[in-house]
Amino acid sequence: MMILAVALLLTMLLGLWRVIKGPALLDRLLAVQLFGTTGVAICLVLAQALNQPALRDVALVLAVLAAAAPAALVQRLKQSSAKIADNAKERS
Amino acid sequence: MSVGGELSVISTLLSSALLLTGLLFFIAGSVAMLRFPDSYSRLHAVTKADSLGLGSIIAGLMFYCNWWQNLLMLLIWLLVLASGTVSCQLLARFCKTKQDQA
Amino acid sequence: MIFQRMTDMAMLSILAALVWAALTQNQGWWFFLPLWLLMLIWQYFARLTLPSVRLQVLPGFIWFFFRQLVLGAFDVGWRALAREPQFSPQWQSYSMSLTKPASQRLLASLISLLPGTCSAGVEQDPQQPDQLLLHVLDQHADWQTGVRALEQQLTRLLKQETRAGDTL
Repeated sequence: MMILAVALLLTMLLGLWRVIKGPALLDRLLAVQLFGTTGVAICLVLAQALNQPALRDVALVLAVLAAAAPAALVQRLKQSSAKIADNAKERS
Repeated sequence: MSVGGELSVISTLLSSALLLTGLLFFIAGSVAMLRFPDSYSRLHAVTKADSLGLGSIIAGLMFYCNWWQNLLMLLIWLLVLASGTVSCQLLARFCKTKQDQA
Repeated sequence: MIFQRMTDMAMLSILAALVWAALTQNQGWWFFLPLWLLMLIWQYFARLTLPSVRLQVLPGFIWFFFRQLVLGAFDVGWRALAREPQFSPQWQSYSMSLTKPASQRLLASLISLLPGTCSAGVEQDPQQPDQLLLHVLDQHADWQTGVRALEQQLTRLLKQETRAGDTL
């Protein structure tokens, strides 16, 4: 069980390379989303391995947060790109 | 509260196989993140390989837990499935419109 | 109509009880009772409806969905681990036969889990049927069959002639 958790952590490290390298914002975001899912899996495995049922609740919260993060970011980017367009209009 | 207990050989084997499959899917997802040529193809990897990997790991863990813990894990899986597809759509649409504008 | 509301109530109660059991580790049922009553009153006055679904088709649909999910994940995994992966990613559009917006959204979400396809959005056009914007991994592969099969399953599952529910 612990080995499984460590292996999952290693796959997360693989994804980290994409976050560092990622040419576009979308790539970085996707890697972060991958981390969310992997983190949920690690929490569930650890809950069994360490016999800590509370870690399942942590996994639930992590899943909810991972759902909210991309939506929030897209909303923010939309607003900021609209602002940039407005500024460009004013300047011209 | 504490679980575990004795498992028969068959269910131990089954659960180990399911856990390993889940790990394999996670590895495939990460490798796909690194190897796929463009961002939109990577979207596919994130939504599919990941959600099935998590599902497989949850199925493997289900042999050890009580019914309400299993139910909680199923709930988490459904949440991850729904959020994965919806956020994938959001990101794809956003990046597509941005690309079209540029 | 009354029968419909009663079944909605029963389904909602069962769902709520299952979620309560999962979240509280099967404890504190005495607190669930007043919550349940509140929920029933709310459901009665706010006229919440569940998506009306043909229950006898549901197991077949779930089975179909799981098979597609496994196939899709294997497809992606095989592409990731193959030495010379085949790619020709492309944007495609698919004209839907589903009419209700809620079921179109559901189809768009489910398509993302199908092998080789990923949906980006619904485009509405007054002249034609609504188009679904898709990203496919391999444009030469036969992705249309899977999408059409899923659409057929969905039309069979949802009672289109009644309201196709807006709570998801």
